[in-house]
Amino acid sequence: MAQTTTQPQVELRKRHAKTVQITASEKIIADISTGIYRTPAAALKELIANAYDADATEVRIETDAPRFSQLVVRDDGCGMSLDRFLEIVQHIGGSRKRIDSPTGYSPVHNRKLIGRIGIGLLSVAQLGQRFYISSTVKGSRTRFLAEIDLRPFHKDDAALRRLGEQRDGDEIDIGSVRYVDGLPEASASHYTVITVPDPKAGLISEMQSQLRTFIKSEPTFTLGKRAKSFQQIVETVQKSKRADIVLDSYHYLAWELGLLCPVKYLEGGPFLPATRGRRRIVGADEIELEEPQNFTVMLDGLDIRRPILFPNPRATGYAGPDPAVHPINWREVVAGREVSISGYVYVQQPHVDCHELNGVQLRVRGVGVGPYDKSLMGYPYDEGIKFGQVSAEIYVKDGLESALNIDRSSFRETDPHYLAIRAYLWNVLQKTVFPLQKSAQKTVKAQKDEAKQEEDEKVLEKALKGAPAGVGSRPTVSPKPPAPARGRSTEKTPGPKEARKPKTVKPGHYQTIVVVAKGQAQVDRDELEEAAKLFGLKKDAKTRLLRVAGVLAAYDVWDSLSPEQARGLFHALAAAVRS
Amino acid sequence: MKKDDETSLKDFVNSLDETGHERRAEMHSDSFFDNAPDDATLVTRSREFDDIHKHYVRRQVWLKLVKRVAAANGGNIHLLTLPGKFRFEVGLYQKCGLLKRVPHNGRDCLSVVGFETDPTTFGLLKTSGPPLLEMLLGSILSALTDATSQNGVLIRKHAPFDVINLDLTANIANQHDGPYSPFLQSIRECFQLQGSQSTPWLLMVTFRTGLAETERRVVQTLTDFFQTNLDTHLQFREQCLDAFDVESAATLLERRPHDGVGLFTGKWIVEQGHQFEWECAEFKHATFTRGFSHKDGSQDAYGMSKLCFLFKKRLAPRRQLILRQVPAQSWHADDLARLIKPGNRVDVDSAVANLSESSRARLAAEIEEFKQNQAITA
Repeated sequence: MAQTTTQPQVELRKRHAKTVQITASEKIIADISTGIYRTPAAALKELIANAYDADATEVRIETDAPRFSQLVVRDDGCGMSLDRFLEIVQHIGGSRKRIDSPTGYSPVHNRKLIGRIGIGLLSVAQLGQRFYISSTVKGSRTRFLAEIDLRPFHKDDAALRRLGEQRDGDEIDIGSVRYVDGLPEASASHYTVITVPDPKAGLISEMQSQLRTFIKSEPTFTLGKRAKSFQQIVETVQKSKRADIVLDSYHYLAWELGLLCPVKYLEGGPFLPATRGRRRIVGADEIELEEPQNFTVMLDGLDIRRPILFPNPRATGYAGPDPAVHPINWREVVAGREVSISGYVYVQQPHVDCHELNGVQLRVRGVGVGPYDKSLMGYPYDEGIKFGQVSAEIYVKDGLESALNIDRSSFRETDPHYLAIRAYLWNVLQKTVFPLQKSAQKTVKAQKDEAKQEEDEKVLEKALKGAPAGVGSRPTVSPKPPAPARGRSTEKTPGPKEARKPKTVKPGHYQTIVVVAKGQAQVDRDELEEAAKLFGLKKDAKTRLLRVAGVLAAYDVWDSLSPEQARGLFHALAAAVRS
Repeated sequence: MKKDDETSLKDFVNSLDETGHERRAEMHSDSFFDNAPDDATLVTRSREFDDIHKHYVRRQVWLKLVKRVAAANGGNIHLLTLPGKFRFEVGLYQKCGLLKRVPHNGRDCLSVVGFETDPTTFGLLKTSGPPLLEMLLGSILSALTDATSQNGVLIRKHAPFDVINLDLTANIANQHDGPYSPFLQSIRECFQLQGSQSTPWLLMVTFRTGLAETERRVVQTLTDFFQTNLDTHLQFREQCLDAFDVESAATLLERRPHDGVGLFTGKWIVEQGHQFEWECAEFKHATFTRGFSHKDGSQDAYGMSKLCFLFKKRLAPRRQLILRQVPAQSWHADDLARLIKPGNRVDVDSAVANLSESSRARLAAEIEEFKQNQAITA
C-alpha cells in the first residue's frame, strides 16, 4: 500500500509579500549623498565588516566573473531575524550593534565591533539598485527573504530632500523593501546572503576593465589570464611599481580587498625571513602583528589575504642599508577616552616599490580605513625621497571610532583621537625613524667610500708596479713640521738636485713639493693645503691630487723640476682634479 | 584622435549607460516577488524536499542509468539540472565519481549547469563548493524557451548535455498556461539542444500528476494521443492491458489518474524524441505520493511522477525523405511498448515501505551527509 510523506503544517494567511519604506535621516543623506564608496572594494568592505561583527568565520563573494551578471555575498555569521532587519532599514546609520551588545564585543568570538550595519546596506546600492537579502539565525527554523529597491537613493541630494518633504520630521524615504518571512530553514543554520541580480553598468564596465582595454593597457593578470592564487597576485605586485599597472580591475579588487578587510597576512608575511637571495629586515622579530582569528574572505575561490610582503626584490640588489622596521606601541587617555595603537613603520631603500603601499594605513579593528596615506598623516617636514621609503600600518585597538567619516574611508581630522595618533606618529618619524634612517645611510656611505678607496688603491698599486721610482700607491702627506727653533732660521732651502740625492727627508725640511722617501711618495702638507684652498678642493679631489702626484713621483717627474715648476705643475693638477 | 579611437571611446561611453539597469529596476523585471505566488505557497515551494522517496529514486532507480551513460561517455557526465539547496543529485554523482571536473575561469569546476529561481538558494549554491560550471539565477524553462535571453544563450553555449534533469515539482501545464505550456515547450527545446550529442543521454522529468491542477485541454489532448497509439499498435495495447487491466486511455485516467498523467506525458515525450530522431532505449517511471496539510489542518496528498528516458541517436533510413515529420519507424512502437514494459514502472511508496531497516538507514544517512556538506553552521 502506498504511503504518504507528511510535511509539518504551516499556518499562513493568504497574503503576498509586504512592503515597508527605507528611511534615513536628512543628516545622513547630507553626509552620503549618492555613492559614498570610492571603489567596489570599499563597498564590499562594509559587508565584510558586518559579517565580521556578526561572528562569521567565512565570507564568500561570488562575482560571476567575467560576466558579472550577478554578485553574491554570503557569510556564516549569526544572521538576523526579520524584525531586526526591518529595524535596521528603518534607521539607516544608527548602529544597533552597540545597543545590542553593550560590551562592544561580539558574543561568540569576542571581536571588537566594527561598524554600522545600515550603512553597509547602502554600500550594496553602489553595486546594484535592487538586491535581495536573506538571513536566518541559529535555532530558528525559518529565514526571511527581502527585496530591497534603492532607486530613490540614486537620485541626487536635492531630489532626495524633495522626497523628504513629504514625510514628517527629518526622515527621508530612500527606497523600499518587500519581504516574506517564515521560509523553511534548518534550525542549525545561520547565515546572511546578499544577492545582487543585476549589477550596474558602471560596475560591470569597471570590473571588465573596459576602459583599460580601450587604452590598450596590458596588465599581467586579466579576466582571460587569471591568477592562480592570491599569493601569485601579491608576488607580482611586489615586483612592480604600481598594483594597478600589473592587475586589471578585477584582480585589483581582490588585492584591494586584502588591504581593506580584516584578514590574515600571507604565509610568512609581511616580513619575509632573510635568505641567500633576500635581505634581512632589521627589527622584524620585534614586531607584534595584529591578525584576526577564524576569519577568511573568499573572492571567487581566491583566499584573500593582506597583500603585504617585504622586502621588495629591488631592495635586495640595492647597495643601501638593510630594510628596517620600527615597532609602534602606544596607549594613552585622550579627551577622557583611551587610545591604544600598535603596528610598525617599515623603511626600505631605495623606496617601497609598490606605490599603493607607500605611506601609512590606519586599521580600525583590523579594517583598513582608506588607502595608504602618502603624506604620513600630513607630516610637516620635507624628507625628500625618504617619504617614498616608508610603509606603515597602525592597528587602532581602542579609540578613533568617533573620527571615522561615514564613508569609513577617511577621518575627521579635528577629532582628538586622530590628532593624538598623528602626533604620536610624527614623533616616531621625526625622533626615531628618519634619524635612524639617516644615520644608517651615513654609515653605509662611509663604508662604501672606504671600500671604494681600497679598491682604487689596489688598482693603482698594480698600475705602478715597475715604475722607475717604484713608489707605492698610497702617497702620504708630510707630518706637520715642528716649530723651527729660535735663531736657526737661516737654513738654506736645497734645490731639486740636492733634494733627490739624499732620498730621505728630514721632517720639516722639504726641498720640493713631492719627494720619495723609503719607497713612498710624500706630499708637502702646506703645499697641499694651499692648493686645496686655492682651487677649492674637497676631500675626494685632494685624494685624487695625491694619487696623481704619486704617479708622477713614481716616474721621477718631480725630480726634474725646479721648485717653481713643481709648484706650477702641482697647481695645474689641482685645477684638473678639482671637480 | 583617430576615427577608430573615436568609435572605441563612443562604445566605451555607451557601455556606461545605466538606462537599461534603471528600466529593469523600474519594471521590477525578473523580480522574484513579482513572479512569486502568495506567501503560503512560496513557503511550501521553498521547502527542499529531503524525503527518502526522492532519494530512493535518485539512488536506486536513476543512478544505474546515469552510470551507463557515463560509461559510454568516458566515465563522466555533463549535467544540466536544478541542484536544489542541498545539491543531493550533484553530491551523489560526485560521490560516485561521475562528474567531470573542468577548468573554468581559473577554477576547477564540476561539469554542471544549474538553475535556481530563489535568490537565497541561488546565493547559497553560488557560494558552495566545489563550484559548478555555471550556476544561473532564473527559470530553467525560460532559458530553454527563450534562446535570446542571457541564460538562454548560456545554456546553449554549454549544450549538449549527458544528463538533463528537469526536477520541477510542478504540473506539466497549469490552468493558466494554455495547452502548450512552458514545461512542454521546454521538453522540445531539450531535444533541440541535444542535436549534436553523439552518445546516449538521459532526460529526467519530475512533475505533479494532480488532474485537478493540470490544464484540462492538455490532459484531454494527451489522452487522445495515447488512445491513438493504443488503437494503432497492438503490442502496445496488449501491454497496457497486462499492466493496468485497461484497454482505453480514458479508463486508465479514470481509474489511475496519477499513472495516467505520468504515462501520457511520458508517451508524448518519447514521440517528441522520435521527431528529432532519438530512440528511447531505456525508460523508468517512478511514482509516489506526497502528503501535505491544508490551512484548516486537514491532510491531503498529491502524486509525483519521475520519468527517466535514455535516448540514443537513431537516424531515419536514407530511403525516406523527411518532410513535415519523421516517418513512422518500426522501432517507434518498441519505444512506446517500453513505456509500460513490466519492471520499468517503480511504485516508490511501496518500494520504500518494503525497504529493510539497514537500507533505509543507509539512504537516510546519505541524505544527511549531503545536507551536512552544504550546511552553513560553522
